[in-house]
This record gives sequence, C-alpha cells and structure tokens, in this order.
Amino acid sequence: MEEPRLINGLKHREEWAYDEFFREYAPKIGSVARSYLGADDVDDIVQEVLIRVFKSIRKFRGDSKLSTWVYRITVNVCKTLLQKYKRMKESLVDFSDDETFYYLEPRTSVDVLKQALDELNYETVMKAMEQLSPNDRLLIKLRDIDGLSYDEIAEIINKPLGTVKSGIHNARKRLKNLLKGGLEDLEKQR
Amino acid sequence: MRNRDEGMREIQKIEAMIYEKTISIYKGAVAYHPSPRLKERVMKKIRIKRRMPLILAFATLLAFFAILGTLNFFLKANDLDKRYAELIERGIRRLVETTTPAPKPLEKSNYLDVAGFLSDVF
Repeated sequence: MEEPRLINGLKHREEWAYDEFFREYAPKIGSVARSYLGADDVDDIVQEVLIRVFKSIRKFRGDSKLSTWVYRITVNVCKTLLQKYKRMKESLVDFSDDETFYYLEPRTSVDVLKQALDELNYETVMKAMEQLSPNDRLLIKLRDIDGLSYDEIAEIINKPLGTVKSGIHNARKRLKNLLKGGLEDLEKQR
Repeated sequence: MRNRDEGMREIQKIEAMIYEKTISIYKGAVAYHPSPRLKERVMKKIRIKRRMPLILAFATLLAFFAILGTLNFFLKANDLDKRYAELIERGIRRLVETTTPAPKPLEKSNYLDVAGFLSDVF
C-alpha cells in the first residue's frame, strides 16, 4: 500500500483506509507499548493511539514518514501513562536515573560464553529486560527489533541524534551486563 | 599474540550471538496481535466521533426550538391574561363612571308622530 494513498484515505475518512491502517500499524503500536511499559495488556493504549491518529490525521503534513509520526504518538501516550502510573505509585519502576549499572567485565572465556549462549532462555531475557529502564527498552526495540534509523528514532523520541546514538550504545551495554548477571545467577543456582 | 586476537574475535562473535538470540527472544515476547474485538471497539468510537458534529447540530436545533416554543407559550399566555384583565377593568370602569338616565315615558303626541311617520314610509 502506497503511503500517500493511505494518508489520503484516512484524511477522507475512508473505511478501507481505517482497515488498512489498523492491519498494518496496530501490531507495531501494541509491540512498542508492550516493550515500553513492560505490560501484556495494551489494548487500551492501542485504542487510544489509533483514535488520536484518526482524529489528528488532517494535521499530518507529511514532513516525516507516517510510521515515524505514529511511533511518536505511541511513545507520547505511553509516557503519559507511565507518569500516571508513577503518580499512582504502582509497580512499574523506571531505572533511567539509576547509575549503578555495571559495565562489561574482562572477557569471559569462550567455553563459558558458549554455555551461556546455549542456556539463554525466555526467563533470563525477560528478567534482564524488566530491569532495563523503559527508555532503554524503547531504544533497543526501535533500533534492534524494528530496525529504524538513528534519525527516525531521534525524531520519535524528540532527542538530538548524538543522544540517541549514545543512548542506544549504553542501553545495549546495560542489557549485556544484565544478561551476564542473569546467566551467572543461573550458574550459581546449580 | 595471534592466538589471543583470535580468541578475542571468538568471544566477540559469541557475545554478538548472545545479543542476537536475546533480541530474537524479546521480539517474540513483545509481539502483539490485535483482536478483532479491538478493531470493532475502535471503529465504533470513530463512527460516533465522525457523527458527533451532526448529532450536536441536531441536538442544538432541537434545544433551540424547545426553548423557543416554551418561551412563546408562556409569553402568549401572559399576554392573553393581561388583555382579558384590561378588558374587564375597562368594562367595570365604564359601568361605574357612566350614569345611565332613567327612561322617560313616551308622550301620546310623540307616539302618534312615530306611527304617522312609519305609515308614510311603508
């Protein structure tokens, strides 16, 4: 589907355009929300984002890609929700200001790493991801899962390019450390 | 020295593989498949929002006419009451102010004049 045609269809409130948009973007929106908030049930967030998009599509001038604009709305909705959660003192914790992360230790031996690779499972990954900050998770999701460019990410999160690059670098580093910690814990349990 | 470099490369390679596997697992974990119910919910809201201006315009028009009708009814009712009251008051005033003289008995000559006049005409 050509993007200008889809945008035009949405602007003219065509039913097929709503269908197409939902089919293409709802999974992306839901996935970003799941990653950022670390929550499973994100239907309400997806609904909120879709309604916002449909409501304000007439204001979309096409300066950026439609996907970038949609991602940006998604991130804003998630951030607002997270702030609300924080205010309500719910269990979601943001580690963004926590500076007590460990950096990569001297290299581990090849055999230990190979073993770690074999033992890496869903629980270890999720445990490590849960300990990352929502911003780190978002950066990893946008860059390493969705494959967006640094420029697009900078536009989505409204930060300078340099900040985005260093942010992604640090997020990966933190994830590697957390994984390492998780794998070492597994080793100790045996 | 050469062996050490090779060893480092091997470690980097495995670390990259660990990271790749992590991302692959995480990708599966955060994958989201929207339900058809969600789509229905969103479309319902969109349709209501789309019709909202029309609904609002209709409701405003209805409210306007209702207010107009109510006002008209009360104003008219008050006006009629006022007019009735004025008429009655005027009638009473006229009755009070005007003294009607008692009727005089007709004289015989006058009576004959009238009878003569009537017979001349008819």
